[in-house]
Amino acid sequence: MWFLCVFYHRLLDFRKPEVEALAELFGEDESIQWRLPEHHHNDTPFHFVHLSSEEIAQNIAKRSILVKGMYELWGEGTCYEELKDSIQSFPDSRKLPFLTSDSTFRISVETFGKALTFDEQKERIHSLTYIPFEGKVNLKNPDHNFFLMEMDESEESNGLPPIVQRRIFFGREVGFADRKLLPTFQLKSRTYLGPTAMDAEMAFLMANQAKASSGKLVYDPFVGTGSILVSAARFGAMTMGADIDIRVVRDGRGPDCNVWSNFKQYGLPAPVALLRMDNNVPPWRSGLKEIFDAIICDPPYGVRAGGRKSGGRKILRGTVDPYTVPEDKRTGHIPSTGAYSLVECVHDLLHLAARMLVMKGRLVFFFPVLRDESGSEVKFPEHPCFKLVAVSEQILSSRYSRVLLTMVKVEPYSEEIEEAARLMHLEFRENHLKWLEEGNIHSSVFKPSTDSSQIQTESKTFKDPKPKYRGKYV
Amino acid sequence: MRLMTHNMLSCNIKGVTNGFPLKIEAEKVIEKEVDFNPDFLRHMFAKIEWKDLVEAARSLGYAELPEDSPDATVIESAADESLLKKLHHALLELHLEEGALVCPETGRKFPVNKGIPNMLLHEDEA
Repeated sequence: MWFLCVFYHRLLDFRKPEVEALAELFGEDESIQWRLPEHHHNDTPFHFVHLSSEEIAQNIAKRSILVKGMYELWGEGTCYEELKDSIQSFPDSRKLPFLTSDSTFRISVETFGKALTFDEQKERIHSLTYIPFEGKVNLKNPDHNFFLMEMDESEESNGLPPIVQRRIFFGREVGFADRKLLPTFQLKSRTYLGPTAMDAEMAFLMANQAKASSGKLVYDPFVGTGSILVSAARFGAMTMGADIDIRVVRDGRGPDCNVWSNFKQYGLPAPVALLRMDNNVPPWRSGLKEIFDAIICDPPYGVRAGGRKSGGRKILRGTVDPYTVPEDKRTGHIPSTGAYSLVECVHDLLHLAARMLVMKGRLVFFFPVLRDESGSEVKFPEHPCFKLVAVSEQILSSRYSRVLLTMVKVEPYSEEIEEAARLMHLEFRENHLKWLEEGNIHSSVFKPSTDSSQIQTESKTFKDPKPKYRGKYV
Repeated sequence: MRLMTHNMLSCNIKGVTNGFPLKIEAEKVIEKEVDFNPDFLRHMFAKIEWKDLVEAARSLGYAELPEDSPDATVIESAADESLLKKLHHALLELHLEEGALVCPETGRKFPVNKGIPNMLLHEDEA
């Protein structure tokens, strides 16, 4: 059945993949179809989605971060006459069960892009008297919630295409979002934070992309302060994390300000394990594989926080042989670490995921991209064990964005596959050497702009060189 | 550090072939209660090395687990919760707070402090 899915107008690229991941989590076995309302463009908050049951729609809405609500559409039109015809042609058998005299209901009016006075709202509600509501009105806690949504025509604004014609929808709410989730988990009230802690909204989105749920084991190889794992734990998953920096993981900022206290703060079960290890030389036993249901992480891109791996600078360059630490100094020795390029880091991550994820398990991670002027096709890291199912861009600045990649493991790990993956990695590294600069995206982002065209335009007129499309910024 | 973690780790120093299981040198062991989740336990049961878990539990002072690995069907069935509860206790509720994990082949010690094992290898070991 088709449902009207109304999204919050934020993080546009993330909306549909989240619904698709959640649909799969809640048992949807057919592929999800989407349809746009007439005259609407892809960035509209209104989308029609085809799902097998109302229950799935309700579950998706309840857990989703970006879905405002899911509605069974009773009618739509460009004006109230059209709406009336549309509602009246909606079969009675679908309407009457929700209009019974022993039920309570409420009709809410929502407008997008404008505000209505109380009288105007009342007028619109009263225009619906042709619908045979027999129950009583209950504004606080009705059995059935109906929504009248009006979106007017608008001109092109900020690069967003215009809406050619007004559209009105009327539907019965089948599911709505949990609005208390984000305020409870927001970072500003979190006990233990670090510079790269993932904000709560994004962490929940990542946990949804990974289909985190009760009974599953979720792993973060760059756990830091545990911000991503907190969200996975909130959705019922058991969590496990590792980091090369022992101070972040073991000590935190004190006995009440560390990774464990972050979980305690929300009454969530603490991670099953926190480890200090180097993802480049991991300590897993050789027979271990297919143990994690999902791997969710935000690898260091080298912009604000660089990655580290074992081996000092000189060892990694080969100017010095690996040295042996004298016996008496071994206990307190902190092994030196060297630069760990983004490309190599991601390769290790894919290798880890290929081996340690269960079949159909999900790898969800962020990958930085430079915002290319020419809009050329960006290539993402690949691995023969994985199928890329979602790419969502979050614009961070005018120069660069990060994309959330969701990959599903479709092939079991083997020696042959590992060899193929190694070759893919070498090819990828070569192609990206140009702008990645050995994984040092930092300089590309922070170097001053030498773009001469910008200087010229300033002297001419006040007009921007290209339309400021704020759509994805939000 | 829980025994579930211990069951996954080995000493991967270059050249070592028999790095698993790591011997446990326990200095401080505590018990922390964890919510019982049978689904999670069943999922983990398939992945753990049973004999090594039994021995590790013993070195932490818990000897209730049966020597031989139970049949998968016994674990799957909802009937025998007592066995699952023992598995739950051994896998998730026993904690090594302070101590070390020792490589059976080289004797190299990986310290465990505040419950966190330090598995980072030295410069000449990787």
